[in-house]
Amino acid sequence: MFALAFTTVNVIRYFRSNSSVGDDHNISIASYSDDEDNIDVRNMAVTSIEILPNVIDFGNVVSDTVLSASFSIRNTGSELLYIQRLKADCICTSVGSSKVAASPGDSIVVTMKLNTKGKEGKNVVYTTFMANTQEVEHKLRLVAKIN
Amino acid sequence: MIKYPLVLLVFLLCGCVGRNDSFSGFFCDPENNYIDQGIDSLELECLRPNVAGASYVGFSAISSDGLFWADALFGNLNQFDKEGNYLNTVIHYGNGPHEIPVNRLEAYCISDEGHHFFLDSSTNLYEFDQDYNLVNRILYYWNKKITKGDICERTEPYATAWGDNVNLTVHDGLFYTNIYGESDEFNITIPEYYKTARIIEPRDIRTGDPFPLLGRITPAVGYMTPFQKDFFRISDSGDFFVAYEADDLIYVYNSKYKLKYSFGQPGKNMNKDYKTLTVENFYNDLMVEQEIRGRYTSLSIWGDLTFRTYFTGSPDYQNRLQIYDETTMIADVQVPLGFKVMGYIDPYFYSEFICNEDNENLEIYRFKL
Repeated sequence: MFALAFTTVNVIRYFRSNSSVGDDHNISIASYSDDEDNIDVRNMAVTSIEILPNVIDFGNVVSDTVLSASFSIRNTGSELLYIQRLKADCICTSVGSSKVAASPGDSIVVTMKLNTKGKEGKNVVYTTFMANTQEVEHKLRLVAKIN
Repeated sequence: MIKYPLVLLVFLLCGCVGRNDSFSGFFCDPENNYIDQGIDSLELECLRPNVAGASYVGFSAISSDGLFWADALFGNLNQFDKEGNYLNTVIHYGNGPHEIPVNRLEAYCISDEGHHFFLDSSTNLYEFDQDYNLVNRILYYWNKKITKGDICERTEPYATAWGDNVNLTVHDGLFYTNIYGESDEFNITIPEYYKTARIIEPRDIRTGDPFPLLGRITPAVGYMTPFQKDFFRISDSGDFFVAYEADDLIYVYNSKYKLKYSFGQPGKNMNKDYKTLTVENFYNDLMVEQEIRGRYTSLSIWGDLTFRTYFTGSPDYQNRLQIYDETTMIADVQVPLGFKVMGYIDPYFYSEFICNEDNENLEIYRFKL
């Protein structure tokens, strides 16, 4: 049996949002201006990708756990794939990638880890990234119903 | 001859049935509440706008320049003609003069002057002019801990209602958002909260300076019931139209937020037998209540017309739209899931963009009256 550490904070947060974004206001604007690598995928030769899957739904999970979801971004084109500005939309979620570039046929694995501590209800968190593809922006989605 | 208009004016000013409690001055019963349902169905035309590479999470607005859809995850603004055809991405994500430097948007609206306003998840407000130049940016709140005293007596915000219920409106030099208390001392689990909490926060669009908080939670909400959200719109003349998930009435206040009158008819076959939630079983009970209980889901105004959508709950499980001409209800018709009236471009009223994330498509409905 898992004892749910349910407090009024959880109740309050429901009415704040059904999304997880509002759980923290400390996301610095600086984190969104990260031209950390002087490369702009919008100026690179275009390739194509396949994301498998682009949604991972954990279903019902207990609170106070860390959910880990891995997404494969396969380079299905003929040019080098490069991804940048990999960002989770919630400070509750960490995100990382196995690498930032992949040759044709190769894949990049992106892992999202959602800490469910203090969360209740249906949570949807996103990670977005840019790639040198026809449509530059892409998203990954993690869904969990936290009890 | 002038005597009778004056009598009528006095009648209207005093028309609301007063309350002798903490809600006095905020709520009243309707004096004139007519039904004239000349419209028993709407002919809805479905448009399917196509945006390449969208996240299918976003916000809608309408102006004489067309229909706009802001992509909440990818941080851009897309323009469509009135047929729903994609025209251009007029604001991109980035740090340039025509770009927005954050890709997680929480709210979007167009002002009467045609300026585009975006709110991000860090309470930055961005203003773009009609040519989509970034002309102003303010950070108005930074995770400040607020106590009950602050909430009641000062003009500091306590929390913007994030997520699917952010109501951003710009009018006459101020921007307004809906708010609620989240401090340990003052939140929805505290009975006193329902008597004293405010619901709307105005701020200066240039400086972010706060103005006195507005509104109250309607008594119809009740302690710890499942449906606590509110909706507000501001008319061209500055009147506030305020509705609540749980209240059959719509309240109208003047530009100083003085109560003018109320109106509204209950939705058809709404299941409103709301359960009082407990902290211990809050989530599970809430999910059940959301499945089976009816509530009002949106409010919009256009001239003398007011549009309000609702979900009936069990056993009908319908989404419906009420249309009022001033205070007279002229329609109560079934509409598709997610339908909310966005605005008007002659000769059609348009719904907001309905985002279907799983099927990766957008839909708009339009209709004539």
